[in-house]
Amino acid sequence: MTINVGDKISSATLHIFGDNGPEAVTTDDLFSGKKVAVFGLPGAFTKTCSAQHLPGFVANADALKAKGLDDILCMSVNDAFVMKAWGEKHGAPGNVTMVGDGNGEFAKAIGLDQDLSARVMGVRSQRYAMVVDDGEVKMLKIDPPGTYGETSAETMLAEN
Amino acid sequence: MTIQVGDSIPSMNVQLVTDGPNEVSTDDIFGGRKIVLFGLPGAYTPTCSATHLPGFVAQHDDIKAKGTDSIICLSVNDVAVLGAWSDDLGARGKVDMLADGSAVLTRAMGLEIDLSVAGLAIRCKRFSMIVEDGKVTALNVEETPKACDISGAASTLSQL
Repeated sequence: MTINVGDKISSATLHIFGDNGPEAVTTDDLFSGKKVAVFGLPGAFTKTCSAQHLPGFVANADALKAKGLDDILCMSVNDAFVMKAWGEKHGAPGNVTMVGDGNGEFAKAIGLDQDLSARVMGVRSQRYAMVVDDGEVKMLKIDPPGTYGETSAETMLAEN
Repeated sequence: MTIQVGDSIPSMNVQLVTDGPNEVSTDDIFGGRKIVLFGLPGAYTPTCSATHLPGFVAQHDDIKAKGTDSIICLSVNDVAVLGAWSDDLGARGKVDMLADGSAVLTRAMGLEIDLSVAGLAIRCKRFSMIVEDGKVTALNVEETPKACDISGAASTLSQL
């Protein structure tokens, strides 16, 4: 079932690239006691994700953090190696934390997975944006497949 | 069951990284041709980026001089990730990239490995093979994903 505003973030283990390669992090580590912006997307290095979604959050990172957000997380069903490489190409370090949901565990836990096997991409994340305060969803936007707008950094900035 | 010398490459449609439409059948790729196929656990991972793909890029002339029609790199990544990685490592035009994003061909050959612990889900073991007119004539599968010896470019070249 898809997560809703007011729900607690479901538990999952993800991976962030650290000093020694991919390091496991839990949703508790990412969300407890913090106010966090999260955006999820179908795939690193894909067109809309690379041209608009990630660059928008990188460009607006300072403005979002000025509104009281402690961190901005980019979630994709890619591994931590790919997320690191992709993030570095778009100026993410210091602005957006690249989180690899390589097993799709988080996307499935919040009910925002989608099967893109027809495009030979396996199970991926839908395109969404959330604001999560101490583990509770405060805002949730989902862009239907093939669209982009509601989940942008600009929309989040305007509504928070 | 793992594919063996003497077996045929499973017949199915796969995706190659190209500038145009990229779906092609394995029958078209392998039929009547001599192909060096190597597989690896993931784009942008250390051994794959530092050793395995660069080795084949560096030795592509020598491998093709032995009558090889093309050299193909298989990975359980999508075309967006493999295309970006291939460009980063100067592989385009030298090594073709086969994006087995849903691990369908990998599983059909019995070469899958579960790397969920590191957040990579199901991937491909590190291997190389020589395929002549669709039949495997040499096969080298590494014991661990970190090893790159028998499946490397130099070792594979010596079998041609």
